[in-house]
Amino acid sequence: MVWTLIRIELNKMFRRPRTYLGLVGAALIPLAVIIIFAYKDPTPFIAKILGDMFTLSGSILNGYLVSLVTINHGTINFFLPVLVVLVVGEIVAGEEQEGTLRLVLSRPVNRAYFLISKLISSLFYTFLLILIMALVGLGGGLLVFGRGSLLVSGLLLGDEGWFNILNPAEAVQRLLIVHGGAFLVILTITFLSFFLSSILKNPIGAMIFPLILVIFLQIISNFPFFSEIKPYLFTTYMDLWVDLLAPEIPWKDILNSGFILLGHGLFFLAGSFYYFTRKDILS
Amino acid sequence: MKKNIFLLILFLFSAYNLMAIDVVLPLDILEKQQEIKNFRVEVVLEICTYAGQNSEFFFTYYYEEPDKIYLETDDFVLLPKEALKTLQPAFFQADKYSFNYLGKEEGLDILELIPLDKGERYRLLLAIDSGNSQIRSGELFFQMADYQEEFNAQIFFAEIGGYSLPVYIEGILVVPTKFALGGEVKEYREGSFSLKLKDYAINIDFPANIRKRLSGN
Repeated sequence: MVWTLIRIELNKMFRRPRTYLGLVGAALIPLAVIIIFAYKDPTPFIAKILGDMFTLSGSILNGYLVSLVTINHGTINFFLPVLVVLVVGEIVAGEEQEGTLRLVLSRPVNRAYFLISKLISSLFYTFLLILIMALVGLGGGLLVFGRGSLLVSGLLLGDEGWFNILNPAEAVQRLLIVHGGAFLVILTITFLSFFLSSILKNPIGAMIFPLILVIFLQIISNFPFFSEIKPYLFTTYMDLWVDLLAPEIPWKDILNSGFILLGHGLFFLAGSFYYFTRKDILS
Repeated sequence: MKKNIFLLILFLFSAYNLMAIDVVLPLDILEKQQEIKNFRVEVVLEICTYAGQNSEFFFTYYYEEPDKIYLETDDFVLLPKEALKTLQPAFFQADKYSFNYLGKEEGLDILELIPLDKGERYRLLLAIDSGNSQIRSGELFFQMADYQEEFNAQIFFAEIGGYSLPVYIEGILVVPTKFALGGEVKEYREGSFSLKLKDYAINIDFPANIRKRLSGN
């Protein structure tokens, strides 16, 4: 039964233009990076910074760098959440607003199974966003700029970040891990938006509120006098992918951040099921 | 009598100094390096800052006197500046240094070269085979950026075309692992590096495209 529901949900999701809008959006980020890099090679910028100690010759520009720069703070903290809530925010609330939820649940469908099918569709869509970003970034980047060693520098990602050099084989492996980390981070937004979509009647709220919350918590985190509350905000752990670029990956810290994000996700998920299975659907 | 003793001491002191100059300054070996007008060499650079993570760079190093360098690579090369210096024949120009003779070790004359330019932050020890007029090895002591610690690199030479040319360099250095947004280094980590140099071609005609790139430097 669940499989049938999942198939129906996926079918429904891929009939909506906004799903494709999100997926195209995910492809646009690496494409924008490719266009920017085709216009301006970042090598002189890095060479200037390293100039006191090292001589940098050749070009750091290659497909791996495109894929790396695609994953940056702006993408993870703002752009991807927008693409997630675009579809996940309306996945349950949208049906309630359209009146189809009452119609579906009036049939002998288990509410939990129904919600599971919606959840799996949401997870699949989130995974697709990351997959498209990785494929377009890595594939397009390699096609346009070719292979090479990967120079990791936080300065290219808009942050102080790590400085590291990876050989091509290590670069592919590390980029896959980083995309995996990005998926884990974005899942928290998916769960939050899913939770709101399950409890709200208006999908706009489920779309807007997670974005406002993420931005609000990011702003609060930047105030030094709020540093005591920082460990309790899930946005603090949204940078876990940055440490995956370190020369020596601090797995302990990353697992800690990962568990905290997953904990938040499970809390949102439990809330979704708790409220949805008890919810009065009147319209 | 006293005058004679004084003259004798003065004579012995002068003779000792003259003998010392004869032994410790095999400047012809250093000057011979200056005959190299250009060369090309294949290089493999390995930088290791963490166990299990090595960064390897493969490139061709082109040199043309007095100090033109071009590194040809399909990828990119990040080369410690101090290591780059040692590859140039001009690095051994005798008039750039003051010399200290440190004695003989295993039949080789050990010579310390201290740059006259106070701005330079390195010194060099050379083990010279005076009999064969060749440099056998060297040790470069250097400082990097704001780091106060002195690092060192071992340089091994081989006789190639009658010249002493470095074929292997290994040493310790600091590598930045974190930068602040302004570009200043926030965190360093010590690591090791090695340079393997092979297939030297000395005093040859470079292809036109390489000559153009060298003149652009």
